[in-house]
Amino acid sequence: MMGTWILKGQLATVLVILMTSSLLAQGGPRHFQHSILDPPGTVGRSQLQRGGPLPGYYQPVEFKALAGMQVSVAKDGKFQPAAPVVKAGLLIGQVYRLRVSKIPFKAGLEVYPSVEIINRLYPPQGLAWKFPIPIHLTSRDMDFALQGRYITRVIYLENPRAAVPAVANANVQPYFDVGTTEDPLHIADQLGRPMAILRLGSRVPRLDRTTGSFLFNSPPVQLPGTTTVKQTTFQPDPAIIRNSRVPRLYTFPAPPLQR
Amino acid sequence: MLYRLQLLTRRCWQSPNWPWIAIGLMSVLCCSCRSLDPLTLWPNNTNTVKNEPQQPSAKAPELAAAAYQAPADPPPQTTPPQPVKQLPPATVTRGLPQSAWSGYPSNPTAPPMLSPGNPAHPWAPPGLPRPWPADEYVLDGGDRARQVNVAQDWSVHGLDEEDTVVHFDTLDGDLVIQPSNRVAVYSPRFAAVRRVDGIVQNEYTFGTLSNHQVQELERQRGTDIDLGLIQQLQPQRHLAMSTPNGFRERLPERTVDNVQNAAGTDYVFESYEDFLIMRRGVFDNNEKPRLNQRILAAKSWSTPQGVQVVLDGKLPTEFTNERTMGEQFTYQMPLGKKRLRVVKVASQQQAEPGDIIEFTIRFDNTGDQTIGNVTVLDNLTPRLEYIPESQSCSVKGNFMTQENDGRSLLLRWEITDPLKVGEGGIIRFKCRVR
Repeated sequence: MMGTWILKGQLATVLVILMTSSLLAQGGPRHFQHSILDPPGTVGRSQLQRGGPLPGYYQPVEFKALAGMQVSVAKDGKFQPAAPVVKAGLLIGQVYRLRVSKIPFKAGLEVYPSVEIINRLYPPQGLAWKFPIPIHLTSRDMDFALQGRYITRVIYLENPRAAVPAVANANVQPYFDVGTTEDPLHIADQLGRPMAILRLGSRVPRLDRTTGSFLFNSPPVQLPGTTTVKQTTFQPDPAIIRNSRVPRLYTFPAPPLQR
Repeated sequence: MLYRLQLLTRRCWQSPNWPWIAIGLMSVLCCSCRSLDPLTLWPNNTNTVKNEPQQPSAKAPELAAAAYQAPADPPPQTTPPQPVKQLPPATVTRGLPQSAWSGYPSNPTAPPMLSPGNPAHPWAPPGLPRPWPADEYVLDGGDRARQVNVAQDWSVHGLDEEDTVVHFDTLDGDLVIQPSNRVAVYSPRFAAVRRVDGIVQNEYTFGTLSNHQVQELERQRGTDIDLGLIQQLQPQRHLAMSTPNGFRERLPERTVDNVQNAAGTDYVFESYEDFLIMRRGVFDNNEKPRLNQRILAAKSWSTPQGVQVVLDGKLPTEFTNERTMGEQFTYQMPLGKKRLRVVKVASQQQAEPGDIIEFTIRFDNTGDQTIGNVTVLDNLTPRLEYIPESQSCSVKGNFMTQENDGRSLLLRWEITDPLKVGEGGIIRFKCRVR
């Protein structure tokens, strides 16, 4: 009788160890409690609650529009001058609106993506602007957006010990696609450290009471070379209140392809 | 309440299914618990866990010629360092004081806030080894994770990526392994994960079932025969050619430059490796601040506490724990000890993908007996790509490479001749940052 109980106890101990051994490695900052479907800004604000030197830090970001496109960042209620490459310091936890224009073969059409910074880098003193977070805007993503699709890109910092052993190209940011049932935020979390979330759609601004919310109330942006940052009240600029001269080629839902 | 808990516990213990009850409770507890992440470990937090500074192993004394203290790396700028302003004690919010974070200040007119006590390094969570965070750096050197072991047949085990070790044989028949210091190069690299969501309501697929049409030859176009011929006109007359009777030589003014390019360099030291310890293997205390910029201090240097040097379980004869700059310590070693000092430096402290970094490894026999079969091993990380035919060694030896698990290379130098006391060598090689 006693021996049976001892045997049961030993068996229970072994089973407990086997079942919980994989749980002992918990730890590290993870976004598992968030999803990519959460409203923009949710993941970033949750990161601020974790603590650390995140609040108030302007993380340098480099937007690179490829294939002849141009990008501009919304600041103080209006978009800045567009350029193929734009560098800006963005606050962690805030969401910023962009404007991509001069899309190849889509004259007059524009896409307004949003970017959310959810983490920061810790570069040596004076090298913050030399190592920004690169965010590439490809023409293929713009085509998908104009077709009525919704694109989500999670830019993450690669783990150097698990990085792809290939020479990096400054004009090509490696990426891979996941299915609609997978969460890119969770996958990026496993591969490295998620830094930013880029969302693209075909939504355009309208002149109404929601114009301010479309620009996420224009969070402060720090441009390279500027010394002061002022947060002004939102004043809608006529540049964002306009109707495109050329109607969109595609309507929603996308019509079937005709051959 | 306590009585009820005791009663419930007694009933569970007396139940014949108590092992399964225990398994269920342990599973519920372990599944719902989550360990703390390093970012939440603050000194003011009640859940603080401090990591004790690790002592350097007696087998691998780093730069044994001097006892280094806590690192106080000077700032990289050429201007004289500004005194760190003593910030007033701020209120602690969520366990982190306001003066702890660094980086680009929210108020550009305010002076940059650095971690107090170490004006050169940006902020890092206390207790974590530097550099921090490690995923933004490309590390090379040292012996991380598994300890390197070398069998009697010189087969190496436990050599992880980023490891740089030197093993040698002594006259006593011992095989000693000496790791180098770690070198850190700031080089973050990014990638992306994309998901495309699209609503498809109507999808038509057009396709022909089959269509096989054979077009037969209906007619054949006849071959056209040339009906005409263009006859070339023969020359009718020949004009004589007048040859020059004389010529005037005109030589433009020319200048001759005897440009001699240097065919190569022999034992020329670059600025990043121009130290006395690299030239002659002699440590100069005046070069310590500059040398600290090129190497990453050992783990014992990354803590604000003083270094404790232990050699084979014995304290040195002269040792002090004062944190002052510009002091050199000497100690007496008993006879019969084998020592090999390995110092590794990099040409850059930060690099972008595609840049080329040159590494220099200096090894010296600082013991009191001759050592042989000196073998230098450098297992490159996947972020480093060895540039072929870029290595050089100042002493005679064999060089070979081998692909490692990270699809990079394991570099191996086998020094042919034994190293007498005081002798050493320099190894250089170049790598491209992927």
